[in-house]
Amino acid sequence: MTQQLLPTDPTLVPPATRSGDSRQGDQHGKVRRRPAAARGKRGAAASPAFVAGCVMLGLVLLLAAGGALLPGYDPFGQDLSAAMRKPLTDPDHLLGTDSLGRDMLSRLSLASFVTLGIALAVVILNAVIGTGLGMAAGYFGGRLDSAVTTLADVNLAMPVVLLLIAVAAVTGPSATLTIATLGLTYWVGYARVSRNLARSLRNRDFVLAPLTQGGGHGWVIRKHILPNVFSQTLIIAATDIATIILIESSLEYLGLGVQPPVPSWGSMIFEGQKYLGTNPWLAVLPGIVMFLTVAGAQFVSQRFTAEGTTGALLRKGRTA
Amino acid sequence: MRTDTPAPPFLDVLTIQDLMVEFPARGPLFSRRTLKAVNGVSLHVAPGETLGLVGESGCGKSTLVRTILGMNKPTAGTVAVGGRNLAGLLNGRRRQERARMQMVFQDPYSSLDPRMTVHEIIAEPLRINGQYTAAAVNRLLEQVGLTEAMGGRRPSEFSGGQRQRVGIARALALKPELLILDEPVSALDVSVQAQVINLLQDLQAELGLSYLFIAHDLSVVRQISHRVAVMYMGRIVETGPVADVFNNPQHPYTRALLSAAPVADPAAAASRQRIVLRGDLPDAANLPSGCSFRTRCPMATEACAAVVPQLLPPVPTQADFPVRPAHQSACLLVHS
Repeated sequence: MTQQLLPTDPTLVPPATRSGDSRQGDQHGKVRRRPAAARGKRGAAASPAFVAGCVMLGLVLLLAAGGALLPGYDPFGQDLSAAMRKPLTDPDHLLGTDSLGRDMLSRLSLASFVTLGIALAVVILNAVIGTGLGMAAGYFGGRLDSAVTTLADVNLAMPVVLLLIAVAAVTGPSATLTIATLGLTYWVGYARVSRNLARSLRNRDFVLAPLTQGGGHGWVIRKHILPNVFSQTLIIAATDIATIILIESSLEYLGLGVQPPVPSWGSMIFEGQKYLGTNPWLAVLPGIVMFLTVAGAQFVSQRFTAEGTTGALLRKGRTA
Repeated sequence: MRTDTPAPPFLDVLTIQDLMVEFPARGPLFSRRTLKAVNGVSLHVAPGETLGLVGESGCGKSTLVRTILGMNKPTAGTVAVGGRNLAGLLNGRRRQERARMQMVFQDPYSSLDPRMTVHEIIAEPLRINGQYTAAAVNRLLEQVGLTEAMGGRRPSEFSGGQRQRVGIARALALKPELLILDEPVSALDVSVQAQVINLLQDLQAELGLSYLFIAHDLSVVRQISHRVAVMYMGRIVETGPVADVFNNPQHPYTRALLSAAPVADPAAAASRQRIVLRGDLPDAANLPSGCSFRTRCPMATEACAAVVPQLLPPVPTQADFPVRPAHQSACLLVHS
């Protein structure tokens, strides 16, 4: 999860800020230099895992985006006479049908669209909140910094799933509720990384220069802090999306989230498990799609994290 | 070289009066102390003049610069640009006035955003102030001895000297009257240092710029400055025309500083007296009473602990080697 990312990958966090007047004595040369092996990596051919990850993700995205264009697309139409067909046995229903005779391929396609959409919304919300708070905390420091840091710590102590169940008990479950709850609670990783980056950037001379030339803090954050933090945010988002999908699917499995008849991976597994003995495909198929997504996302993001260990910021700044 | 007659104050590009900058520092347990980084500094820079500001690390040079540029708030005293006190101005107007002073940073590696092209870096101050044209940037590039084509590259493709030229071009973009040069060559190779110093001198002659040149390399200061101010523990201890201060230092600290600078001529080096200071810099949050140099001064007497010496012109009757009025020092022994 986001909070685990930091300890396991301490290199994401930049070296501690040097205090005010010692910033003159500089040591970037030391920090920026990458080991020769890492430097060569950029030009090297993509690893098999990266290619496999791209293929897996590509399949899922194709399913999510292209499913609606297939002939016979109908995720809701019931046909009890054609219920419980197994995959590849019925030319009208390529992946079979569920207990109500609904086309599995269509349902998987819609479920992928729904699930990925929710996960993407959550990750974007997390990234925006976390990066915004973190940058402000690191750049301005002082009380704002303490406030954000405390908020982040409190956030980590919050039982998100219990919170979601409690709120859902009052308002009734919905996709909006899931997005809001997860989106407002999993931003800590972004906040910590961007706070530390902003803090180390704050005293760099290229950040001070525009301030002495009439630029305001808004200008500096927009032109110098955000662009340097953004690449790190993307790296976290790439590793985070798999985790969010898993959490979201667990919640859907519990019935918190999109409501029937709209399918999601989690709710499809839940419905399918009743028929594990007669037609295991009902639960296995959404499981496979979920596996392809999560594993694919991990494989792909691994490459970003490997690059990120030297830090996109530091890499671009390496001395000539 | 300039004469030692001080210019009328209203003509000065930069005038600093009794500037005091204090920071709260943590004492033992929960006590609070005050750290006096700049402790009553007055100085001025006339048009077309270079004032060299010398002092060891930790003496308050950087704080002074940050305060001039408005990044620290002074506890007391004033900073005036062109005779106009910045503290009395509204924010927008103050920014405008402050743009008449521009900064060249010490480290050409951390002062340029690695993601931006050189053209964009130089364009930034122009964009902030809505004056951007590509032609203006190209003119600036040319002015500092770079070519238009180099504008498309990133700082990582440049040498330290070229980067410092970019830093100078950026500082020149808003047509300042004064450049604050914070050790602009100390991060560079000696051969490159000379080129940058030459460029600065050419620009001064061409544009009539004033420089506040901060350095610890005395030979560079001697070459480029018209006047020098020596700083110790947040105070100016000696100031005057460069030749006077270097040839006839009055304050014991200046003497020690000059005696520590390497001399190119071995014969001269052998014959001169080397003054070695004992001890470390005192704690800026717990300055010694009286003269803050007395703890390390080879000539200190009991009187030095009692009185804070003021920066004063020489006593007229003094000595065989006449000291000119513009050459002031803050030492009881010199004035007794």
